[in-house]
Amino acid sequence: MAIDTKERYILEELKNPVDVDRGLQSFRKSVLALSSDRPRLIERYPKQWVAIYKGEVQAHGKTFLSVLRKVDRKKLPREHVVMRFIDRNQRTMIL
Amino acid sequence: MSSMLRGRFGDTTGRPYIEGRLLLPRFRIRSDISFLVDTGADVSLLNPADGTRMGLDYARLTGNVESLGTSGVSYNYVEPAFIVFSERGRFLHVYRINLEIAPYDRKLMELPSLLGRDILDQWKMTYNPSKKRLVFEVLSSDETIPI
Repeated sequence: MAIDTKERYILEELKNPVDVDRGLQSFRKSVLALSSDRPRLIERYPKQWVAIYKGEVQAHGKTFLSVLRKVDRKKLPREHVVMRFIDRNQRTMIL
Repeated sequence: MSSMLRGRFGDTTGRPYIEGRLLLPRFRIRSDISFLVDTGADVSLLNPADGTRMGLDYARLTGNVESLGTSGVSYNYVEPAFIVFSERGRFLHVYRINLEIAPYDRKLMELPSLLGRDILDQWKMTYNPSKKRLVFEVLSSDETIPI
Protein backbone atom coordinates (compact mmCIF):
# COMPACT_ATOMS: atom_id res chain seq x y z
CA MET A 1 0.00 0.00 0.00
CA ALA A 2 1.72 3.18 -1.18
CA ILE A 3 1.56 6.33 0.89
CA ASP A 4 -0.25 9.03 -1.09
CA THR A 5 0.80 12.64 -1.50
CA LYS A 6 -1.64 14.19 0.94
CA GLU A 7 -0.19 12.08 3.70
CA ARG A 8 3.36 12.93 2.82
CA TYR A 9 3.40 15.76 5.30
CA ILE A 10 3.40 13.35 8.18
CA LEU A 11 6.60 11.93 6.84
CA GLU A 12 8.05 15.35 7.59
CA GLU A 13 8.05 14.06 11.12
CA LEU A 14 10.39 11.40 9.87
CA LYS A 15 12.69 13.58 7.84
CA ASN A 16 15.41 13.05 10.40
CA PRO A 17 15.34 9.29 10.82
CA VAL A 18 18.39 9.36 13.08
CA ASP A 19 16.42 11.39 15.63
CA VAL A 20 13.45 9.04 15.39
CA ASP A 21 15.71 6.05 15.87
CA ARG A 22 17.44 7.70 18.81
CA GLY A 23 14.12 8.68 20.38
CA LEU A 24 12.73 5.19 20.09
CA GLN A 25 15.90 3.67 21.57
CA SER A 26 15.68 6.10 24.48
CA PHE A 27 12.03 5.20 25.02
CA ARG A 28 12.93 1.53 24.94
CA LYS A 29 15.59 2.21 27.57
CA SER A 30 12.92 3.72 29.83
CA VAL A 31 10.64 0.75 29.31
CA LEU A 32 13.45 -1.69 30.03
CA ALA A 33 14.30 0.22 33.21
CA LEU A 34 10.69 -0.09 34.28
CA SER A 35 10.66 -3.79 33.58
CA SER A 36 13.98 -4.70 35.21
CA ASP A 37 13.50 -2.41 38.23
CA ARG A 38 9.97 -3.54 38.94
CA PRO A 39 10.78 -5.25 42.27
CA ARG A 40 12.41 -2.03 43.52
CA LEU A 41 9.55 0.06 42.16
CA ILE A 42 7.05 -2.15 43.97
CA GLU A 43 8.91 -1.44 47.21
CA ARG A 44 9.10 2.31 46.65
CA TYR A 45 5.86 3.07 44.81
CA PRO A 46 3.30 0.39 45.66
CA LYS A 47 -0.12 1.00 44.13
CA GLN A 48 1.06 4.21 42.51
CA TRP A 49 1.47 5.44 38.99
CA VAL A 50 5.03 6.25 37.95
CA ALA A 51 6.36 8.24 35.03
CA ILE A 52 9.76 7.26 33.65
CA TYR A 53 11.85 9.33 31.29
CA LYS A 54 15.37 8.50 30.12
CA GLY A 55 15.39 5.47 32.38
CA GLU A 56 14.60 7.37 35.61
CA VAL A 57 11.44 7.78 37.66
CA GLN A 58 10.50 11.43 37.21
CA ALA A 59 7.11 11.52 38.91
CA HIS A 60 4.78 9.30 40.91
CA GLY A 61 1.36 9.56 42.48
CA LYS A 62 -1.92 7.87 43.23
CA THR A 63 -3.73 8.71 40.04
CA PHE A 64 -2.78 8.70 36.39
CA LEU A 65 -3.87 12.30 35.92
CA SER A 66 -1.97 13.61 38.95
CA VAL A 67 1.23 12.06 37.62
CA LEU A 68 0.55 13.44 34.15
CA ARG A 69 0.21 16.91 35.69
CA LYS A 70 3.61 16.48 37.36
CA VAL A 71 5.07 15.42 34.02
CA ASP A 72 3.70 18.62 32.48
CA ARG A 73 4.96 20.77 35.35
CA LYS A 74 8.44 19.37 34.82
CA LYS A 75 8.06 20.12 31.11
CA LEU A 76 8.90 16.55 30.20
CA PRO A 77 7.95 15.48 26.67
CA ARG A 78 4.82 13.38 27.19
CA GLU A 79 5.42 11.55 23.94
CA HIS A 80 8.61 10.00 25.29
CA VAL A 81 7.45 9.32 28.86
CA VAL A 82 6.48 5.83 30.02
CA MET A 83 3.64 5.66 32.55
CA ARG A 84 2.71 2.54 34.47
CA PHE A 85 0.71 1.53 37.51
CA ILE A 86 2.87 -0.35 40.02
CA ASP A 87 0.75 -3.10 41.48
CA ARG A 88 2.04 -5.42 44.19
CA ASN A 89 0.02 -8.27 42.81
CA GLN A 90 0.47 -8.90 39.12
CA ARG A 91 -2.97 -9.63 37.78
CA THR A 92 -3.59 -12.10 35.01
CA MET A 93 -4.40 -10.37 31.76
CA ILE A 94 -6.69 -12.03 29.24
CA LEU A 95 -7.50 -9.90 26.22
CA MET B 1 18.70 -8.25 2.81
CA SER B 2 16.39 -9.09 5.70
CA SER B 3 15.31 -6.51 8.20
CA MET B 4 14.74 -7.43 11.83
CA LEU B 5 12.91 -5.68 14.64
CA ARG B 6 13.51 -6.51 18.27
CA GLY B 7 10.73 -6.96 20.77
CA ARG B 8 11.05 -7.87 24.42
CA PHE B 9 9.40 -9.83 27.17
CA GLY B 10 8.32 -8.09 30.35
CA ASP B 11 10.63 -9.16 33.17
CA THR B 12 7.87 -9.94 35.63
CA THR B 13 4.86 -10.42 33.42
CA GLY B 14 6.52 -12.28 30.55
CA ARG B 15 4.26 -10.38 28.18
CA PRO B 16 5.58 -9.67 24.70
CA TYR B 17 6.06 -6.01 23.76
CA ILE B 18 7.54 -3.89 21.03
CA GLU B 19 8.09 -0.14 21.01
CA GLY B 20 6.96 2.04 18.13
CA ARG B 21 6.13 5.64 17.34
CA LEU B 22 2.50 6.45 16.65
CA LEU B 23 1.64 9.37 14.38
CA LEU B 24 -1.89 10.76 14.20
CA PRO B 25 -1.81 13.25 11.29
CA ARG B 26 -5.19 14.87 11.93
CA PHE B 27 -4.21 15.71 15.50
CA ARG B 28 -0.56 16.44 14.71
CA ILE B 29 0.32 14.00 17.46
CA ARG B 30 3.34 11.77 17.66
CA SER B 31 4.07 9.56 20.62
CA ASP B 32 6.19 6.58 21.51
CA ILE B 33 4.21 3.58 22.66
CA SER B 34 5.01 0.21 24.13
CA PHE B 35 2.63 -2.11 22.30
CA LEU B 36 1.56 -5.47 23.63
CA VAL B 37 2.04 -7.96 20.78
CA ASP B 38 -1.38 -9.55 20.38
CA THR B 39 -1.83 -12.10 17.61
CA GLY B 40 -5.42 -12.51 18.80
CA ALA B 41 -6.28 -8.92 17.94
CA ASP B 42 -7.51 -8.47 14.38
CA VAL B 43 -6.38 -4.84 14.43
CA SER B 44 -4.23 -2.55 16.54
CA LEU B 45 -5.86 -0.67 19.39
CA LEU B 46 -4.94 2.46 21.31
CA ASN B 47 -5.98 2.21 24.93
CA PRO B 48 -6.89 5.21 27.13
CA ALA B 49 -3.64 5.53 29.11
CA ASP B 50 -1.60 6.09 25.96
CA GLY B 51 -4.30 8.25 24.37
CA THR B 52 -4.51 10.47 27.43
CA ARG B 53 -0.75 10.70 27.84
CA MET B 54 -0.32 11.92 24.28
CA GLY B 55 -3.04 14.55 24.76
CA LEU B 56 -5.56 13.06 22.37
CA ASP B 57 -8.81 15.05 22.17
CA TYR B 58 -11.39 12.28 22.47
CA ALA B 59 -14.22 14.69 21.67
CA ARG B 60 -12.88 15.06 18.12
CA LEU B 61 -12.71 11.34 17.39
CA THR B 62 -15.18 9.69 15.06
CA GLY B 63 -16.25 6.16 14.20
CA ASN B 64 -18.23 3.58 16.05
CA VAL B 65 -16.76 0.19 15.20
CA GLU B 66 -18.16 -2.79 17.01
CA SER B 67 -15.44 -5.01 18.46
CA LEU B 68 -15.73 -8.28 20.32
CA GLY B 69 -13.46 -9.01 23.27
CA THR B 70 -13.43 -11.20 26.36
CA SER B 71 -15.43 -8.57 28.25
CA GLY B 72 -18.09 -8.38 25.55
CA VAL B 73 -18.87 -5.97 22.76
CA SER B 74 -17.24 -2.54 22.74
CA TYR B 75 -17.48 0.37 20.34
CA ASN B 76 -14.25 2.01 19.28
CA TYR B 77 -13.28 5.11 17.38
CA VAL B 78 -11.26 4.76 14.20
CA GLU B 79 -8.48 7.14 13.16
CA PRO B 80 -6.00 7.03 10.26
CA ALA B 81 -2.56 6.57 11.73
CA PHE B 82 1.04 5.70 11.03
CA ILE B 83 3.16 3.51 13.23
CA VAL B 84 6.92 3.61 12.87
CA PHE B 85 9.29 0.91 14.07
CA SER B 86 13.03 1.26 14.21
CA GLU B 87 15.62 -1.30 13.34
CA ARG B 88 18.41 0.28 15.31
CA GLY B 89 20.84 2.19 13.12
CA ARG B 90 19.49 0.71 9.88
CA PHE B 91 15.88 1.36 8.88
CA LEU B 92 12.60 2.86 9.94
CA HIS B 93 9.58 0.83 8.85
CA VAL B 94 6.38 2.80 8.44
CA TYR B 95 2.86 1.34 8.46
CA ARG B 96 -0.36 3.12 7.61
CA ILE B 97 -3.37 1.73 9.40
CA ASN B 98 -6.83 2.59 10.55
CA LEU B 99 -6.18 2.60 14.27
CA GLU B 100 -9.00 1.61 16.60
CA ILE B 101 -9.15 3.79 19.69
CA ALA B 102 -10.95 2.61 22.82
CA PRO B 103 -13.18 5.26 24.40
CA TYR B 104 -11.81 6.96 27.48
CA ASP B 105 -12.58 4.86 30.53
CA ARG B 106 -10.76 5.16 33.86
CA LYS B 107 -11.19 1.44 34.42
CA LEU B 108 -9.09 0.67 31.35
CA MET B 109 -6.10 2.83 32.25
CA GLU B 110 -3.87 -0.10 33.15
CA LEU B 111 -4.35 -1.85 29.82
CA PRO B 112 -1.56 -1.54 27.26
CA SER B 113 -2.20 -0.60 23.67
CA LEU B 114 -2.26 -3.57 21.33
CA LEU B 115 -0.33 -4.33 18.19
CA GLY B 116 -2.68 -6.47 16.16
CA ARG B 117 -2.55 -8.54 13.00
CA ASP B 118 -3.00 -5.55 10.71
CA ILE B 119 0.73 -5.12 11.27
CA LEU B 120 1.85 -8.49 12.63
CA ASP B 121 0.72 -10.20 9.41
CA GLN B 122 3.47 -8.26 7.65
CA TRP B 123 6.15 -9.74 9.85
CA LYS B 124 7.55 -13.17 10.57
CA MET B 125 7.80 -13.60 14.32
CA THR B 126 10.30 -15.59 16.37
CA TYR B 127 8.73 -16.03 19.81
CA ASN B 128 11.03 -17.75 22.29
CA PRO B 129 10.39 -16.61 25.87
CA SER B 130 12.72 -19.21 27.39
CA LYS B 131 15.61 -17.57 25.51
CA LYS B 132 14.09 -14.09 25.94
CA ARG B 133 14.12 -13.78 22.18
CA LEU B 134 11.34 -11.89 20.43
CA VAL B 135 12.32 -10.91 16.91
CA PHE B 136 10.30 -9.85 13.90
CA GLU B 137 11.50 -10.18 10.35
CA VAL B 138 9.92 -7.44 8.30
CA LEU B 139 8.28 -8.93 5.21
CA SER B 140 6.59 -5.75 4.04
CA SER B 141 5.93 -2.17 5.05
CA ASP B 142 4.28 0.88 3.51
CA GLU B 143 7.53 2.79 3.57
CA THR B 144 11.09 1.92 4.55
CA ILE B 145 13.42 4.77 5.40
CA PRO B 146 17.16 4.24 5.75
CA ILE B 147 18.67 5.68 8.92
